[in-house]
Amino acid sequence: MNSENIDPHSTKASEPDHSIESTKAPESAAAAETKSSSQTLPILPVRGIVLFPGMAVPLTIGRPSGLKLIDAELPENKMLGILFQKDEQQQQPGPSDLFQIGVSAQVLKMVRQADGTVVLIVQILERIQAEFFTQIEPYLRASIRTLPTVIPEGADKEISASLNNLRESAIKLLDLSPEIPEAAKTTLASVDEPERLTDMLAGNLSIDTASKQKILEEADLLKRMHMVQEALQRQIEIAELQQKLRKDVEGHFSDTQRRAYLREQLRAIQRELGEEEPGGEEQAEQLRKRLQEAGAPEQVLATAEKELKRLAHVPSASPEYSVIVSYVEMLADLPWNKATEDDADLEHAQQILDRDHYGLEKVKRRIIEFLAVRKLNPGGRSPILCFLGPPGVGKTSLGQSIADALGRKFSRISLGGIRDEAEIRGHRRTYIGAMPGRIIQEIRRLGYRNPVLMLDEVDKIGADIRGDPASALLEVLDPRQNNAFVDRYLDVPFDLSQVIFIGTANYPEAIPAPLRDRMEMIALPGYTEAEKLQIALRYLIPRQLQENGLQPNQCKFEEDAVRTIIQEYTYEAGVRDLERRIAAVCRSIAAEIARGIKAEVTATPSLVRGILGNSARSVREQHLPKSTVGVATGLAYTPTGGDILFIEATRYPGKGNLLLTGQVGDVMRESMQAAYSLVKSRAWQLNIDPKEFAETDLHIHVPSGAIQKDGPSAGVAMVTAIASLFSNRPIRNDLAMTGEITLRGVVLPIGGLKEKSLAALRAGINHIVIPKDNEKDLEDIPREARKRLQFHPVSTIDEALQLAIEPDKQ
Amino acid sequence: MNRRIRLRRLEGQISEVAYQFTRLHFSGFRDNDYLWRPAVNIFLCSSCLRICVELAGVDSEETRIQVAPGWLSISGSRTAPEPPCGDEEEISASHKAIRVLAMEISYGNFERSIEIPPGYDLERFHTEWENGLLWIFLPRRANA
Repeated sequence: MNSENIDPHSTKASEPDHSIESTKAPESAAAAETKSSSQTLPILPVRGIVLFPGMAVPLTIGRPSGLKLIDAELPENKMLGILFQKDEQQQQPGPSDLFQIGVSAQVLKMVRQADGTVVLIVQILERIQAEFFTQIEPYLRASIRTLPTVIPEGADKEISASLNNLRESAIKLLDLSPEIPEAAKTTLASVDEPERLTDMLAGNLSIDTASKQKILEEADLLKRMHMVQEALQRQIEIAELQQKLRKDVEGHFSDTQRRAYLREQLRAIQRELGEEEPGGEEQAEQLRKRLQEAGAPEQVLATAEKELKRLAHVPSASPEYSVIVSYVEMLADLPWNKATEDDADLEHAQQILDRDHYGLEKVKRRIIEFLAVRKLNPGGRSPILCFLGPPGVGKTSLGQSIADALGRKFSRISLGGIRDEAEIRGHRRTYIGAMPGRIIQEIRRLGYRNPVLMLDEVDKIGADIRGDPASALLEVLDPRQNNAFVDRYLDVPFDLSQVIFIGTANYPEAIPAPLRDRMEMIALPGYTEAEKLQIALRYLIPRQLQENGLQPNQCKFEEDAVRTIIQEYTYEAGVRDLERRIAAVCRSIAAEIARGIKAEVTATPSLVRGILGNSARSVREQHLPKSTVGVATGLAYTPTGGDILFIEATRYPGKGNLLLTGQVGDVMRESMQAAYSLVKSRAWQLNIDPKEFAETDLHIHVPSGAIQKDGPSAGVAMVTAIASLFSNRPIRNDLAMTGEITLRGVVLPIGGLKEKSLAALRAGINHIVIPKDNEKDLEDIPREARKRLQFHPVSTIDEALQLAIEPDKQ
Repeated sequence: MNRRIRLRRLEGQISEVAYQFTRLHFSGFRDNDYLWRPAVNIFLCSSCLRICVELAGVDSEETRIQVAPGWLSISGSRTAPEPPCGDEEEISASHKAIRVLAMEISYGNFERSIEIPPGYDLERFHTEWENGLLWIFLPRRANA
């Protein structure tokens, strides 16, 4: 090997050769000559890259054999043979692990790193072929032969064409790669020698090492150029695709990357602060444990396990992660197995009911029966109770008492105004912010699977396009289905059969029929005055005293005072307004005591009147001052209990038309027409000239005109009013009447007799005409009311007219 | 969900490809000849431009200064600075290098081109060697 061949500088520069082989002394030059003629070079195996003549590259050397090579050779010799490894994984490559063809190189610089590795900067000189190895240990040394590039004869034109192609392609590739410095292009343009350009491109292309090795081994320049051209072409295609792809995803891409980066930082900060949440695996393990402890059934465990496995693949900062965690937490929190022990002592239950509620004997009896059945047959399907009654009569608190009596947890779910069935059945988990339905939520909150759940206001469930919550309730309330109630969020069945559901409603008619059908209605009618008095004395006054910070000895209520409030200031079936009035009185008294004006106060009727001011009661509900022609007193059943209502009839010359006003509904309108027809048909009995009907118009009005009224139960009153008008005989003002009529004059039974009776009593009416069929309901009417009222059961309208209309004066 | 994970993974792969792509492409792109560049200091004086080139160990005879309009280039070569070695008999064995611990000083051919601001006479420069530094003085052009 000639030093002229090895060092490209020597051929260019006119100055003497400066490479290691050529020293200044002529003797050493001769020595170098001998050395190179021996044609052995230390061999440095490198991996992962292929180097081409002309490149100057840094090489990091960390392997012992490489380090030994440098230590032993570098002081005297800067020439190396570099052979490339066939297998990158090979740690101690022997001769057979290396490609035979490599390059010779000159060490330009050497720097030792702190970690013991050495960085060499080498200038690659020529292609060489290792002919045979002369040394294996401690490093390789081989006899080498330089491989000159073969330029095919007469291919000059083709070569220069290929050269141009190569350069053009390379520049195109550079244009597609924005990160390459502009200088690269000038460099490219400045290289004219085909071999150098080819090797330079081959060395710089990002192609796999095997292909590079093939290019390196190709001696024929033209073929080599073709190979590089091919590789370049592929690179251009990739680059074009890449550029397009990059443009396409750039915006979204950088945003996502930024988020990922920020999240990573956040996690690092949390770790630093010691606030890191338990990792996915750890959390999954905790949840598994909790599920086991909750005694979840197999199916639930399997579902949860599926979710927990997914948890492992989801980054903890992603929203999906928290969705899974909250779902499994929900599963783990549900009381699959946890139930409260039922208190089976019926005496105790009775005590609790009596403690919390005055009166309501019938209701309490039904509740005790209900509890007794549960005691004797705990697994049985108990009916679902629904308390029916006006507001403020204690429906909700009865539910609480039942729970207390049984020793169960109690919760109240208000269904009033619910329109979305998802409130009952939950949202599917695919929705963002999905939650289980109210029932599952309440059970989770209570932590027991057998609570008493009160479904408040079942008559006020709405329905719209989002579904019908009442239908969803059917599944919940059906004892045959609800042992495997599937909430859409849970997606696994939960047993609701141990839950005692109790509904409440004001109007049974407003409850959807299928739902009503599944419940047993228990009516809680309004309270009588005496009951209200007792409730006030026993419950309301002590509670209000406490709330207003009064001691029992500081403020006493006379019974008469309470009665005054009930009679003059409240008008309701329940006791809510009564409690508010008592509260007002208590506040006023509290103010006086707090000011130190008085030490103790006894509430008397006059004091109450002084505090509450003018009576809030309207005149309307008082009975008529005197008997009047054409005005009958009817009785109505209203949500607030009962009420009296007047049917006013008047006539004027006309053609026999009938005018009906007073916001009456269809049923009442038809009832009025029936009443008119009935009176016409009995004209002879009532001493009415039939001609009068044809010559007069009749107007029937039901005050108050602003209140909606409907129902058939005013039939008797209407017949009476019309008959009174045409026969010109007044109707008794101390008598009220109720009852539906038929055209044959039969009086049919009505509902709400208790409320109506109490309303009559409140209005100061002593006689009530009732349908004969309602006689059996009289026992529901409190005894004190029965004492003060006189009931007149009738079976036909004639009997009623006889009683109501005063005898003909003539 | 699965689709999102896959998409995210794909996105990661794309970025990796993009990264590799930009990194590998012509990363070591440079001309074949390794010419080292000596460091320079350049000063503007009221009457001249002074250029100081760090050329320790370079034979002044081997240094060439060439001028082109607006450009001045210094080229030459430096023999690798190293202790006497090889077969020279007069070198005692104890002074021979047996291990190289560092080899940082550039050697071989060098070249440095310097852009000269207008107004200096490139034809009339003179040089001085001082402790391994080459000082080049460029006088201000008379008519400037």
